[in-house]
Amino acid sequence: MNEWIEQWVLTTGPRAVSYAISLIRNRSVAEDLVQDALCALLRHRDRYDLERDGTKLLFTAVTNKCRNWVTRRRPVVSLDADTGGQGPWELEDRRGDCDPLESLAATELGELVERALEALPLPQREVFHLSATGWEIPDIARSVGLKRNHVRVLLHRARRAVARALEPYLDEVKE
Amino acid sequence: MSSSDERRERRAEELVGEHLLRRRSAIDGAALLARVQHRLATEPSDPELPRPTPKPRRWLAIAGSLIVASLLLTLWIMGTGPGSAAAAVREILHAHRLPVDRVYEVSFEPNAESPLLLRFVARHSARLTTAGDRFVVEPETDGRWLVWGSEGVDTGLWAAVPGQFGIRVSSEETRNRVLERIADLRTLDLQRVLESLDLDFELELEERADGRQALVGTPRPGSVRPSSGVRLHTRPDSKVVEELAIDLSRDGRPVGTLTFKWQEDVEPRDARYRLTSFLDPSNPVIDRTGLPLLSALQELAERLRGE
Repeated sequence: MNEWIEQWVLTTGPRAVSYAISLIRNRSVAEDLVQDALCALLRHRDRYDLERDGTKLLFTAVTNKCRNWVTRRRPVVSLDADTGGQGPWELEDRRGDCDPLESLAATELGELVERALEALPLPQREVFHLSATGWEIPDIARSVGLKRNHVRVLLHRARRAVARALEPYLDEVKE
Repeated sequence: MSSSDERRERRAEELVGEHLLRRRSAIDGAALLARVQHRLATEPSDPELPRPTPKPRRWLAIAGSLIVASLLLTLWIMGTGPGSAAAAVREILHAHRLPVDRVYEVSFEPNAESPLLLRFVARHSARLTTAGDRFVVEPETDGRWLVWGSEGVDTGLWAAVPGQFGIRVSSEETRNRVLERIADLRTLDLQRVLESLDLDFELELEERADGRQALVGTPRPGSVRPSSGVRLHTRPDSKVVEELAIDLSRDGRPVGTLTFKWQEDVEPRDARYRLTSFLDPSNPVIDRTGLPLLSALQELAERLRGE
């Protein structure tokens, strides 16, 4: 593994793990899924231009792995009707094995943010996480495999829902 | 939405962004790298190879497989309904949207009813390379005379005479009636064709003995699609489209069959979908996205005269 790839894993890996945590609400599984995706990508690195496409390919792979994982875990409840046309995504119950960096979530705002993310249907969570971390719509669309207009709609719904959830912290913006 | 709402939503997203940044900083990248390096060094090089399973679990796996196989066999014997056809379309679209660059040979077999123009266009097959909503079509002629494609669904279409000039058409314009056929079929936008399958056709799913699936579609009543039927074959493992045949019609009369045949998967390369890849820096590009067609053609003629 050359130096560039090591540096790339050091910087991109944590971003991908954080993204997977947003999607599946389980840190240890998120780390496993990202490891799987990274290993698969690096085993076949001769097929790709990692410097140019590596991050997008990694996030696409992580998105798909998280979707598969959520689908397999489907028996859990909490079905949100507003799924953005992506089918009946269901959220995992956070009680028990979920540990999305407890110390961070321990603050009031941190807990509120985590709850707001958790309440979003999975497709909205995917696009909102990427948008909130600086991704542009064309890149989001490519990574989650949706059309740009569809991404815009999901993002609009997610922003509205998150703003509602964080209402107490937005008072000064209201003025 | 009021500007106050917009500000609040923007601020909410910023708060989430700051939280996610702190979350990311708390993840140990070095530990992740170490685990990845360890796995790469110790696990079999091909992840698709099945890992050895301990014996007791293997028995469980075999029993599970038998149950699944029995269920599948039962479903197959009972026949498949429209729901399974819709599910098959979803799987096919999912496979098509993966970031893999696929090459299809596209050919058109005209019949006696075909207009002369269509017969002229159909003299050569074309090579379609596609990855999700991006594609490029290169006619297989001795000297390439027209290439066209799309850099993404929201960017519209482009066409080029390689090394000569290019033109861009907005996605809004491709929705008008005149260009609809071009946008849907003659540009061979496979994703749009696949997305329209379930809307425009009554689909039946046929399972072949070799595990391959075939979808056969007849137009739904009232469908405006210029097609009288469609047949689609997929690879059993990946659901990638192996062959798609569309019977084209005009004013209700068949004019020929358009066929996509999968050739190979190729190395992902963004540049192959860009108009600029087929032009020299000095070649004119007409941006039709903001010009009426006539003005664009006039501008193109002037530029070419000035060359």
